[in-house]
This record gives sequence, C-alpha cells and structure tokens, in this order.
Amino acid sequence: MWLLIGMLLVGMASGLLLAQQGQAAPEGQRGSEAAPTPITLPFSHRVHAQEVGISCLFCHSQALRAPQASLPSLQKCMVCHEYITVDEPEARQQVEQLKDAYEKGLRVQWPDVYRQPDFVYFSHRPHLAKGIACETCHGDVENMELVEKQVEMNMGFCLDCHQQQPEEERARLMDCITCHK
Amino acid sequence: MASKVTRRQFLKISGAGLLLLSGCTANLQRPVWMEPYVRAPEETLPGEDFWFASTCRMCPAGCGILVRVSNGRARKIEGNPAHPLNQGRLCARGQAGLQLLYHPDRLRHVLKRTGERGQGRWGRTTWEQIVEELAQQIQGMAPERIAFLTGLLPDYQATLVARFLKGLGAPPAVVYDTQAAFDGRVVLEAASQALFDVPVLPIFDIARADVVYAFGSNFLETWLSPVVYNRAYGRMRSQPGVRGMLIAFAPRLSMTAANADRWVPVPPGTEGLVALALGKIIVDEGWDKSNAELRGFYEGVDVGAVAQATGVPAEELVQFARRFAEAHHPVAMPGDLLAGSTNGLEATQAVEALNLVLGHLGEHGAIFLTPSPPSRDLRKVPVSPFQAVRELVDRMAAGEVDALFVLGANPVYELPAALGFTDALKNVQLVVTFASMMDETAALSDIVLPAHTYLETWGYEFVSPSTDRLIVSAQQPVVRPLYDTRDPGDVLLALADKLGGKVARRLPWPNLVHFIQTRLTSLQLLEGNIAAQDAKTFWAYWLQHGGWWSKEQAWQVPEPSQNLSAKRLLVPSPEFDGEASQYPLHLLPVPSVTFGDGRHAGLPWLQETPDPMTTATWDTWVELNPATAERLGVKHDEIVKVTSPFGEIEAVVYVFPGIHPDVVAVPVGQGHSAMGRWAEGRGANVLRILAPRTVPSTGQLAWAATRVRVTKTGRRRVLPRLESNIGVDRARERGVVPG
Amino acid sequence: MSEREHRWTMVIDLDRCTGCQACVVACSVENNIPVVGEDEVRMGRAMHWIRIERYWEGEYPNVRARFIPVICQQCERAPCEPVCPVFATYHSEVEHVNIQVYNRCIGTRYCANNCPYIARVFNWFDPQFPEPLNEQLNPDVTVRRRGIMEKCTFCIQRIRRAEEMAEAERRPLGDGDVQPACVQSCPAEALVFGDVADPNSRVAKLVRSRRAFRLLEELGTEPNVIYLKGGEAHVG
Repeated sequence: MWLLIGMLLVGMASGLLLAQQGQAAPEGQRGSEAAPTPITLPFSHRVHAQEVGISCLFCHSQALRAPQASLPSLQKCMVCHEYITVDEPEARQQVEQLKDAYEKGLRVQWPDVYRQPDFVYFSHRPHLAKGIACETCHGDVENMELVEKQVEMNMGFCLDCHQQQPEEERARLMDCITCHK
Repeated sequence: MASKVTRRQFLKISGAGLLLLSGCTANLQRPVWMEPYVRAPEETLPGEDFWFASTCRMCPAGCGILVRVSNGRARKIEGNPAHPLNQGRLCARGQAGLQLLYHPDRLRHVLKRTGERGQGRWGRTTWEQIVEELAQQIQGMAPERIAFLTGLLPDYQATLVARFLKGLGAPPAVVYDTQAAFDGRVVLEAASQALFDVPVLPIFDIARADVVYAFGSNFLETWLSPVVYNRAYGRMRSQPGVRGMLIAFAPRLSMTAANADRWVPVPPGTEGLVALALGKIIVDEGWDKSNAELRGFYEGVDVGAVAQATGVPAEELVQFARRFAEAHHPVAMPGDLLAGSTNGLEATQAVEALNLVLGHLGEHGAIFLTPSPPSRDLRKVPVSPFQAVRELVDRMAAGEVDALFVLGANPVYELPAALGFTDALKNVQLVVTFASMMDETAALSDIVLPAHTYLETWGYEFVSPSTDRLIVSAQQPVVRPLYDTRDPGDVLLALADKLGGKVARRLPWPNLVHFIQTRLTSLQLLEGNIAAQDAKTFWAYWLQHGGWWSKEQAWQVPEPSQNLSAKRLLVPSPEFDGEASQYPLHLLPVPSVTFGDGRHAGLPWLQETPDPMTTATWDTWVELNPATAERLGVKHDEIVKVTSPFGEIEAVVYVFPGIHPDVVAVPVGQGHSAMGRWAEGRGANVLRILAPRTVPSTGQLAWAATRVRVTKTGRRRVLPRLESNIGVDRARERGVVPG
Repeated sequence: MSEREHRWTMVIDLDRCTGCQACVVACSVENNIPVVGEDEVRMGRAMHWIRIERYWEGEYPNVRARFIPVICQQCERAPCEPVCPVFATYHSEVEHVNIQVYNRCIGTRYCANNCPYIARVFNWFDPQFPEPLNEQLNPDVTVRRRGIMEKCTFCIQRIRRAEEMAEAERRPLGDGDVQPACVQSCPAEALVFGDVADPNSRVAKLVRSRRAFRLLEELGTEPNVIYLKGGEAHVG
C-alpha cells in the first residue's frame, strides 16, 4: 500500500511539473522533424570507478529498485562536470564534448554490453538485495578502460550460481518461471 | 549451440516443417544501443513503474483510472481502487483506452483541405497559422451563423465551448451523440422532472435490493454507468443472507436479460404497459397503504388489455405484481429501450411510479437522484434532444450556418441518413472538426484539428449519475503528447485570446490548467477525501487521488412532486415508421459492449472482443428468432438485406433464440468508411437506416421505432465467432477450414 | 509446503459473472496477446487466454443464456504436461501453476491437443503491432513469436512483482496482493484470486462453498480454478 501511495505521490509531482511547463514540446516527440542521429562519447570506467572512486550505484542508481541498472542521464554527468574538469588536453576535450552535447541536448548512445533476450526476466533488485556485488557478474569493471564482456551471461552462468544457494531457496531459484517470462 | 543439431531443433525441423528456426539466438548477437536521457524528466525513472490517477473518457460515465507508465509509455489502464464510482473496476472499453493513444492511424498535424471536400487531399499547417486564420474567419461572420455540434463532452470542454459561444454571441452548442440517445438521458431527466420536479438522472441502488424489475434495460452493457451497475449487480446477488432477484421485461434477451432469473419477452414499446398493469394490480390489491393519494395514477388501466397487448398472461402479471409488492427492497428500473420508443417518457414514468406507489424512495435498495454539483462552477452543460440536431440540420440546409464546428461527435456516421446531415453540410462554408482520428465527419471537413487523447491532457468531470458521493474526478496527462496535437479546450482558449473583446473576457485563462484550477477553488472548503490549506496543495492532492469526493453520503432522496395526486399515468401504444404490410419486423439497434455507439470500432482489441450473446467479432450480424429465420428460409451465416423505408444494409444472419419473433436486432458500431485500418469497410451501420423520428414530448430520437423487412441475398459469409469454433479442430468440423 | 510456496487458486462465481468481457480485454492488454483478425477468428485461431462461453438453454420464449469464463485451469495433474517432448510445459512446484516456457516450446501442439479445456492457443503467425502500437506492450511479458503455444499464466508476472515487492518491504505476501489482470478488472467482482494454502484467504473460504465445483471434474485433472454455481431461478 505504501508503495502505491509513493507512486501516486510521484505521479502528483510530475503533474505539477507538466503544469508549470504548460506542455512544452517534449523531448523525443514524434511527428516533428526527424531527430538527429545519435552521437557517441568516450568514457572510461577505470577513471571514474577506480581513480575517482565513484560507486557503481551513483550512476547506475536504478539497480537497487528496478530490473535495469539504467544509464545515467547527461544531466547526471553534469552534476560533477559542471565544476570538474581535467588538465590533460585530450581528456579536457572529451569533457568539453560532453558539455556541448548536454547544452545542445544531443542524443547520445552507448553500446549495450550485457543484454538478456526478451524471454528472460532478470531484475537487478533482488540480486542486490541479497548483497551480491556488481563484480560477481560484471567482472573487474573498475580496471577496464572500456567495458568488455567477460562472461557469457547464459542460462548455465545463472544456474551455476542459483544451484549453490541454500537448500530452502533452491526450489524457487531453479524454477523455470523465476527467470523466464 | 548451432554446431550440432539437438533433439529439440530436430523436432522443430522435422515435426513442424514450415517453422523457421527461432531467432532468439540471432537476436542476442545484434548490437543494441542504449540512449539515456539528456535531461531526465521528473516522472521517469528507467525501469520503474509509475501509476498516474486520472479519469476514463471511453464513455461519459467518468470512472477513476490508474495508468501504469514505465519508461515514458502507458502500459496498462486499471480502475482506481480509491475512486468511489468504480472502486478499482473497469469495463472492456475502459481497458482498451491505450489503443486510442497508440493507434497508428492517429492524426498528427493540423490538416487543411487542398482538394474538393471529401477527396481526402490535405495540406499541413501550423497551430499558430490556423488559430490566426480561424479567428479572422470568425470575425467576418455573423455570430448567430456560427454553430457547434458536440458529443457528450467531458465537463471542462463542454464548459469552455459554452463560454466561448456565449462570448461570441453565438447560439449554444447542440450537445448530442448517439450514446446519449441510447442512454435516454433527456427522457430520464424529463421523467425526473415530471415525478420529482428536478431534471436530473436517477440512480438505482440495486446492490441492496432484493427484487429488481428491469424494463427494456441493458444496464449491464452500456447504460449510463455500466461498471457501477455491474458491481451493484454482483453485490445484489450475494448480499448477507439474501440473493437478490432480477426479472427483465424486454423484446430481446440482452446480456442484462440473460443474467436475469427470468426474462419476459414483450413486443417492443410495451414495457411501460407492463409496468402500468403491475401498478394497477398493486393498488387494487391494496399493497400501497401509505400512498393512497397516488391511486389516480392507474385510473382506467385495463390489466386484461395489457395482457393481450404484451402477451404476458394476466395471472402472471398478478404474480409479478405480488412478488414486487411483497419484497422488502424492490426496485423497478427503466432502461435504454424505453427511451428508444415513441412512448418513452410515459413508459419511464410508469416504471419509476412502481417505486413511488410502494413508497420506496431514497432508502436502502431504492431509487435516488443525482445531487447537484457542489458549486456553480461545476455545473454541467445540459444534453440536447435529437430535435435540436434536426433544427441545426434544417438551418444548415437553408444556408443559415456559415461555420460548423464538430467536437466529440461523428454526425456523418451516427445520424440517420434520412436526416440529411451530409447534404446539409454542403451549404456550410466552413466545417471544422476536432478529432484524434480521421473519422467520417473529419473526412468531410475543411479543417481538421488533431486532438489530444484523454491520456495526454487535463480535465475534470462532475460525475453524473454518481454513486452515493459527490465526485469531481481528475484527469491528467499520463504521457507526453505523441504528436503535434492539442486539447480542443486549449484551442478555444487560444482562439478567444486572438479574437479579443468579449470572448477573451469570457475565456481569460492562459491554458487549460489555469482554467481547471479556477473550477476547483470552491471544493477546497468542503469536507471530502482531501484537506489542503492552499490551492496549490489541493491541486496536487486532487491529481494524486484522482479527484475529490464528499465525505458524507450525498444521495438525493427524491421528493414526489406536489401535483402527482391529480396525475394519471397513460402509456400510449408505441408508433413505428414503415407500413406493417411492407415492413413486417421491428428493428432494434443494439449499442455495443465494445464500440458503444460506434466510436471505438477503430481499436483492434475491441474488434476482436466477442459480443457476449453471439460471441461474434469483427462483423455486423442480424439477430433473428429461429421461427422467423425459418419463415424467411435463412440460416446462420447467410447474408440478408435489412430494408427500412429509409435505406438498406446487408449483414450476416445469426439465429438468436432469445428474441421476440417480430423483432430483428442489429448491433451498432461497424460500417465505418473512415476511422483507421481496423474499422474501415467492415460490417454495416444500422444507424443510417433509422427513421429520423422525434418524440414530441422530449425531442428524443425514437431509435427503436423503425420497421424493416429482411430479404435473402443468396450469398453467405461465415460470421467470425468463437461459439462452436474454439480451437482449430472445431473449425474444421464445421467446414470453415479445409482438411 | 514451505512458507514461500503458494497454491494459487482462482474462484469464479457464476452467480456474479455477467459476461461483460472486461476480463477478456484486460487479459489481452496485460499479456501482450496479439489480435489475429477476422479470417483467423473464423478459423478458430482467436488467441484470447480467457473466453466467456455462452450456453443457450431452452427454447423461445423459455430460453436462458449462461456465461462461463474459461481459462487455463492450472491443473495439478495437467494432461498437457506429459505430452510435451521438450518439457516446455511443466508444473511449478513453487507457485503450483502450470507454466509454459516459450523459448523451449517448439510448437508440436501436442499439449493443446491433450487439453480438455481448450485453454491453449497457438501462434500461427508472428504477431503484428504496427508502430506505435508496440508501445502498449507490457515489458514484463515476452512477445511470443510464430510457432509457439501460449496460455493463461495466472499473470505470473504479477505474482512475481508482488512477491518481489513484499520481499523488498520485508513483509509476507498478503491476501489480495496478487491480482491477475482479469480479477483486477472484473466489474461484477465475480473473480477472486488468492492462495488456498493460507486458510484465512478469501479463496480458501470460497472453495469450501456448497456451490463449488470444477470443470470436467471427472477427468481427475485437479484444476486450481474453482467455479461457484449460479443461483437458480425461483420464479414463475
């Protein structure tokens, strides 16, 4: 019930937001002129997660409460980069690229490294709730410049781990419908 | 995996031959790109659900809904459990609202005709230009030559239209659609006026009644507020210690009658006579002790004559009367079919009078009246009778209308063809239609203004008829508008601003939201589900909860009118258009559980939803009594021609055991020549062949007063239905599929 | 039976069901059920997971119609299960629901052939959702492609969602927390859903009703869908 109320509250908040905006043309509105092709930006997990020490969940914040871990919006990047820049010229230029994209509202896209097919139900939430660390499945991302797929996240990968769980959990974790939809 | 053929793949290749290898593995290898927001809108968190409270607009009832939105898309509409009207429940139409929003054939731009009218050649223009242009045109016209024809609009739109026209000095809008005519709103209001001195809609508390008599009623299908009556019906059946009983008097075994404990078939238009006879027996046998002054109601009623006219034996009438009188909480309810007859007003009064003579008013399981709105700002715009449409068409034909604006109605589709609307349209210089899809009327317009769907805009609705609360339901956008559309209300505000002067003073708000907020100010002081210190907080709570509703019960107890003691109830014999010798059968158009009056025929979910009684989908059929079908020499799936004095349609025969032999029923809703890929060119539109007959006392369209003849065509088309046809083998047995 | 096992049961009160079709549309919306079109319906290929069967009784004028909503009966001893050569359909010991694993299914249709309730439907073609109609799709339910058998799942995704929420809020699952789409929408409140393993649940009380029966009970399939008989006319 509380959850429902929480949702309604958010619904309300957004209602206010739209009211203030007076229904300005929304982002990604269809029917208008074709949106420009998306660009890509350079990004180093090593720098952010290892050198600067930002927690995974700061950017991938939805992992705690939703199926997807989610990518941060450019706005979130700007929380830091509004103020923080770097000396190294190449990196500085990369940060400028980000600022430019943010200010112009350019579409930015990222390759999806780990992807589950449509018939798989996977949610980050219960896994994090059990205290499973990100590295368990995603590997040592902290030390990767570019994220590479280190494991093939197939059924065997999931079941290997599910099978090692305590006896009383196992029936549920081995049930097909737990992970298939 | 692909290197060796597994048993599973082998089976797939050999067993099912034609099936290609499932592409799921291929799917994984395709690179997928993800695109995060640049600035994340506040109402979205990736992967998380939001439930927005709003109001359903698929019919005029005004149920509260919660819409599940994830990743910025509306995924599911459910009833709002907190809303006192529908209490979390929703009907088939309400569930299908998503397809109105995501329909691929929606209008996306302002369209201006470039070819001849109806040629379908359109140019695009911008909102700014069109508002400018319309303002100029309106300024050049005499205000009395401007006309608005609207359907039963949501309150916010109806109020804005009324104020706009008043500001212009133009005549008030004609508020008419076929759904309202099927509901019999003007008839019910006139009956309340006659019996209780107030022209409002009645409410029947069937949930707590032990005996319910329904006369010509389809309250479980489309009548007024189907979700409310379905819920009430369910509760009526399982009250603590009591199983309520339902008896239906009607010419056709509708879904409502199918749920009754007993269906009593009567010829069309004679339901009121049955009610009269029951009342007569009740007073004659002295069941009416407390209301002796109402005995005059039944002066001169001849039970024997009623038995003869209706085919219900006199002894049975006596039994029905006693059962009703003996009950603790009996209630008699008039239905839509009464309103379609020429004696609709009298019949409705005769039915409601049964509650009066037994003194069952405003109590447990009885009849109540819809209360007036809590403030003047929330007053409703009255519904117009069909007579007003007739007058408008006459004026159009006479060249007295320069500009016609159509909003929330589809007159080209829904009016009887004999009324001549389409021809009269030719004499109107400027035709402007607000629509979200290209319907038949929009197709014949000069300018089409694409409208938001109800899931993209703001609104409010004072719910009428209501339950036991006063309800001001909230409507808010649940997704951002998909296309370059606008709410018609916002268009009127922009137009008024451009026109200036008196209109601008009547519509001084910069946008819809400001306008709606001013409507709500008075509610803040009243005791209800939300308490707020200031307007902003009230607004926020109002949206969050899906509306405001009174804390106290607000059922209005009907007060019998003073002059009833002198009143005599008379139900004249029903009249029909068409010579009985040439047109031997009565035509009964049946409003559809899925399409209503036809406006939702564009939605594929609803097209494929089976009709409850025939289980048919996607087509129009003609229901014939088995004896009638035999006499005509037709069987299931044969195409017949249904001819009235005003036109003809063709449809497929369904031999229907639950229909009076003199009656032929045809569902409403198909036969569209526009409205998108799923509606176009399918079935037939029965509304077109109705007699455009007005009942003088109310101005209502007597939509069930046309006679027809049915003739064979010799052709055949299998009706797509589920019955006897579930699973492929059944279809094979019936010879529908070869093999 | 452990605390986390459930025996999901649906009770269908035929005295309340009005045949209004709200459940049919609710189910199609929730479960991404494709619309097959006029010709396919004619061939008996409509894909609804819930249908309301209408039976005529008697002849005019003493004719009646009765409505019976039919869904997958979630049999404890399901005839569809043993005939699947690839184990795409099986009985979940945790939820006590008959499960169809779509990505295992190879489309032999043996299961549909063996189902006495005709509760299973087959994808003869790939489903079509012309844009932007695809945006209505429920992300919790996969879109089945051509050649795959499907059927009512008791809205397993909603069961899962409710279980996850209860777990996140560290509370046991309450009666009424799980409502399949049909039950949620039913205007006449004819459908009730819950866990009969919980003796205090509404369904546990309702299944003890004198009116309770199962469809084709004599086949011994032990359905988890319980019907309550409609009341008889006591008039005229």
